[in-house]
Amino acid sequence: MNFFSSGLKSVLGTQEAAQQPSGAETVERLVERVLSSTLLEDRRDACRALKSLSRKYRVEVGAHGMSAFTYVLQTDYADCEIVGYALDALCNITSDEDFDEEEWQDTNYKPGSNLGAQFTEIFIKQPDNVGLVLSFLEEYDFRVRWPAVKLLKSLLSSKPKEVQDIVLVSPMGVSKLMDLLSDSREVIRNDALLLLLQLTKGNANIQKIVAFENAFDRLFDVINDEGYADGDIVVEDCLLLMLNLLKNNVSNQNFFKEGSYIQRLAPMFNILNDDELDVGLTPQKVSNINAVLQIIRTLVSPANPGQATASCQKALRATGIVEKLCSILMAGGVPVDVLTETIITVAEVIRGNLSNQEYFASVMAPSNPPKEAIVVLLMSMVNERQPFFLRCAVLYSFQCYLYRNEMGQTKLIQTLLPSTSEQPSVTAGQLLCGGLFSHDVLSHWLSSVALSHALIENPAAKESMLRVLLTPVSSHTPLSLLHHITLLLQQSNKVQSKLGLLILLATWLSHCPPAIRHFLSIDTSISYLTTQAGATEHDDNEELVQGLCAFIMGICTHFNDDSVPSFSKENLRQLINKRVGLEVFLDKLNEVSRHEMYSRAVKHPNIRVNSPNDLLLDHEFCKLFKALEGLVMKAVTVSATDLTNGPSENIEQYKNLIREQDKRITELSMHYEALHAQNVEQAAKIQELTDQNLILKAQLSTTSAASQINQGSPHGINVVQEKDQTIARLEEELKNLRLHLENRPLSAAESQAVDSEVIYLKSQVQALQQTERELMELRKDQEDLLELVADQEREIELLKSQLRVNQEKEEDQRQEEICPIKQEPFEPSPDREEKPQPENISEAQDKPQMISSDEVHPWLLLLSKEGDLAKDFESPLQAEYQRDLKSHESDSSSPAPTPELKFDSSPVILPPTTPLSTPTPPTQISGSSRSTPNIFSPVPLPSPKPPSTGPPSPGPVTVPLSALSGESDAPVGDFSNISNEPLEVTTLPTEPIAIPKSSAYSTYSWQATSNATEPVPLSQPNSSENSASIHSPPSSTISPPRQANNQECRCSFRSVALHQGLADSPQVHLHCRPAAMKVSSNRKKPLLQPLSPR
Amino acid sequence: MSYAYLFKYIIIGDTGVGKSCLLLQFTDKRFQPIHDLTIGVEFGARMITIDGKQIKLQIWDTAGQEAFRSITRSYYRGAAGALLVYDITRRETFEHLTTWLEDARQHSNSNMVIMLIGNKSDLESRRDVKKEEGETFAREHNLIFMETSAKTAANVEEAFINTAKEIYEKIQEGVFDINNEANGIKIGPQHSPTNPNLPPGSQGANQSGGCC
Repeated sequence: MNFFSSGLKSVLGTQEAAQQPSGAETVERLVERVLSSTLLEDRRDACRALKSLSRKYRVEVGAHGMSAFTYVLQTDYADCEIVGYALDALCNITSDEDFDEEEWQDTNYKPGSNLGAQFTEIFIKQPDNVGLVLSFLEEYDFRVRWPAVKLLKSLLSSKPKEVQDIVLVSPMGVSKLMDLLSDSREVIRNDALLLLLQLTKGNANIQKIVAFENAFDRLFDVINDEGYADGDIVVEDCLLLMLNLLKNNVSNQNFFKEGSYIQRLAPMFNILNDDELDVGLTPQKVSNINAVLQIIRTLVSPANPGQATASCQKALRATGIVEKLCSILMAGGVPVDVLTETIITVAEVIRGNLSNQEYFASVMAPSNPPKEAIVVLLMSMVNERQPFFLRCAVLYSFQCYLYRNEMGQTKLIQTLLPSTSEQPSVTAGQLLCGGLFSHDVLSHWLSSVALSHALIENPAAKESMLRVLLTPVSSHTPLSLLHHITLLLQQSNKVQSKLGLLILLATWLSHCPPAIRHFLSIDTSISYLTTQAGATEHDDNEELVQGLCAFIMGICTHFNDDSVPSFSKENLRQLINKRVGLEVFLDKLNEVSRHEMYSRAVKHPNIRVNSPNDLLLDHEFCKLFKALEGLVMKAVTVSATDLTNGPSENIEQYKNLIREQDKRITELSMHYEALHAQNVEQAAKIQELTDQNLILKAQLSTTSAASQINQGSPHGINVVQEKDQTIARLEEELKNLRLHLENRPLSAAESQAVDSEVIYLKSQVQALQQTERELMELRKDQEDLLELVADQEREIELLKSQLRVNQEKEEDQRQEEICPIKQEPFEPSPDREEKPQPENISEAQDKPQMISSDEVHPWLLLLSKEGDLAKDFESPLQAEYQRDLKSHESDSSSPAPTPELKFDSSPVILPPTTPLSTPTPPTQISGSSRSTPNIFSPVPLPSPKPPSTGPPSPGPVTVPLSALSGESDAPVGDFSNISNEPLEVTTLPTEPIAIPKSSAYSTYSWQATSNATEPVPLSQPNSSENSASIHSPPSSTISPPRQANNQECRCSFRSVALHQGLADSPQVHLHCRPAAMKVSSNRKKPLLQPLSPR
Repeated sequence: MSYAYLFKYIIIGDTGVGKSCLLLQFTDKRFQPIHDLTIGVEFGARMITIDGKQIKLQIWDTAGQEAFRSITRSYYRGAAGALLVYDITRRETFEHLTTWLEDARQHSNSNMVIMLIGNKSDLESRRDVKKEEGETFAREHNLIFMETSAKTAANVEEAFINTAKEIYEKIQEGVFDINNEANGIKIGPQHSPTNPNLPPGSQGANQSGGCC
């Protein structure tokens, strides 16, 4: 106040105390002075005074002085001092906080009336004012630059949106701010950081400009200067600014990734050394690490475009950040909130990225013996002593690990099935099943949902999980997991556990008819659902249970394969209609999607709830619900008479018709082919005959040339007659053909293709007729020739008589006649037929046929034994046709064409009687088993050996669960409380495989003691009351004939029950049958190695 | 992904001339006929090789709409290269070039390399601006000129790479101050400023950058 009064004095002169003017008067006078003084000194002093008053008389200074300050900023911009005062004063009056010394008496304002915002509004009404302030940022002088930064900060905090918009459009505004980050004066740099934090909040355009101005580089430089995670709050501010720039800004995320900034994040994680973890992290360091984790989460957020997230995940893995995150997970002494955040970050980094998921699965906890990180995490999930958020985070990480990770899902389910290697440690699957039977409601929910994630979009997993059998110790028969879930559902009276189980059920049953079959055959399953879905009253959140029950009923209807006669599609539909009522049913379904938790869960894969009671629905389940809701409604509402059956029957009819027509067409086309072949041959024949005719003609001409000595040719006539016969035959053939063609069944009318074929055939026949006509002509020619021959014969006779007369006279002439005859054999022409030597005639008759035998022969054959040949001809065709037909059938309808084909190619396997068209279950080929047990033929039961006598059957082995859970080296909290219930794992492989007799029956029992870390063989199973009972059940109860050749192994875990009475704790067996496929490759080995033979 | 240099580009021009498509074609090698209106700016990046050196291009594709004009101005200063795009089938986009150029010259650093691009050269039948006109405009304003088609990818690579070559040459000549990041050029992590590969002129051409 001294300063204040002296300032006043210097401006106003000394005044008497009584005449002390009021604050408002003083301010007025000062403002006037600022505006009117000609001397810079005076203005400066007045300004300084106003600045001093601006806190106490904020209202007055703001109301009157605003114009004075802007005047100063505009006119006296060259004087740093006065500008500094003005900026400071403005800073005070626009500040959003109230000052202690503020005078409220004379004003209408009360504290908290948000004066700062009002003055800010007045100030920024003139956008040039903000530009003015921005321009002062360029002034290096500390007295100007710093207050300018502070003023902007204050303006921003009062009116963020408006100021952002002004800064955005003022040229170079952002770049001026960015330059402040390189200011060597830390106070300015730090305030600039805070200013940028406010400026970039929620404004993508400014975020992009800031990023464009190399913000990331500068921020990393600052972080580097400050020593990364060890740095003070400045590092946190830098990280928060980065977070601002990246959040919901894909363009900047892309820039961040492309600019290789991800790798510059890596040193942030270099700081976790053991000493520090023992002492505990400083709060600042925790904040810094949390901020980095937030940045990473922003980069790989599931809400981002898939491609962007995937590339960031890859980059994070490449820069080793994933490894570092996982090492934090497994390190001890990490504060719970950091750990929770790290788990969530890891979850999102691995989500949907197979290589990251595989890496995550391979991470081992540094315990002794080393355990998988996943197992350790799940232990904390099912541990009710762990913090709620941590448990949720673990579920999220587990869910992300299984997301689009078929291998991971299969692996998890494998842990519920027996494996070849001995696994004394606790597995993920066992933990989850244990969670289902725990007393903790939250564990129920978390375990069920976790299990449901192992089944999502994985039909194989759904089927193999059907083979998991569990049995409470007290009961004799092992029940399937599905059965247990159904029972638990009915026994539970907590909404949360019910919902968890229903989520698991719905996920399991959807798209999996075998599971539905199994589910429907459980006695009380449907009746329970019907009661629930039909209930008219409900407590809080119970409507969700009822809705989910309705949903599951719908799933059972829609995916029903009608294999359970009493609950076929139609039956269920009627059940819903009669017992529940369609309206009620649909209402219940709608309740689900209307529920608040549904809309919350559907938004984001991560569980975002504040209290354990809100944990009701799961994101993936909501997705499933959304996808199936419509189908379920349709399945339920559509009645059997219309649409569902009608069209399919029609289609079946049409299919049959088409199939028949197809058959017809193939038949006809084969006919056609055969006829065509005949036609071709006949055409060839005709050609031959024409040739022969030509030859005959030529012959005749030669004969006429050599007429005088020719004695006629009766065989020539023979030939012609023969030809006549041939022609007649051909005619007959043609007629037959025509008849054949005409008589062909006219069914082809249905298919035009056949018609056209017939037309084509007809044209062929016409062609044949034409040839026939030609033949007729040829015959005429022949007759003419015959006449000619007769004439010639007469001439020859005449010549002969002349010859006889002149015989004696012309002996020399006769000699000459013989000579040409002798030369004849050299001529290839058939002239020699007309040789006068009679003994040659018969031979000569054959000759013409012999000459052309190569061509004639098959034809004759064909003509002579047409029937036989046609058969020969047809048989391959027929076979082909049948093959066609078969393949056709299999194409159109056969459900299992592949195995058939296999049979075709390897006829050795195929029993001759096996009908080709019947679909053969693929299982018969591989010789492996399906899940249904009655497939297996009974095999004589090897007598179970008592555990004590059989060498391979080991004594009970004690495994302390508390030791497994790593009580001493558990990084977080205390795992010792996990799984108080003894878990009994019993494996029941049922596939018919050769198992060494010695290992055919063995019993294991692991008994938990508190301190042992290694499995220790215990005494006789039944010797101790406290130990888990050992099972050598009479074969009558546990080994029905179908399990005769089964190997049975049982393991029971028990930790010393700390909190619950032993008698109460349900004991659980896990009965598991190995997956059929898996076993076929390992069939030689016994499935479970005895641990230690007794 | 190490690089010798990093160049910042901006793409400017009227709305609908195909700026975003050019970028998409250059970075992703694909064409998207229906593209959403760009809001503010979008970022894209690609690595190219010039003179055996890896050069990273960071490209900011700006919104062409008048409403975003003031926002996009903020990007001029930090860019080393600009692609000024017009649409050869719409004369008005060509006529607005002068305004764009003035804007760019006013807010950018004087050495910014500007490439004039007549886009949509595949639509020859609807051509409204002759190639010669573009060439003349470019010559008058001392720009590099090229006609491209983001649809067929014709000349797209060349447009970006030629701009980079021009910038690279300017660096070699020492025109650019590569140590001032406001110029839109960054030296790769393994290339320190004292790298002997740098031309001696570049050191001499240093100006005192910015405020401090």
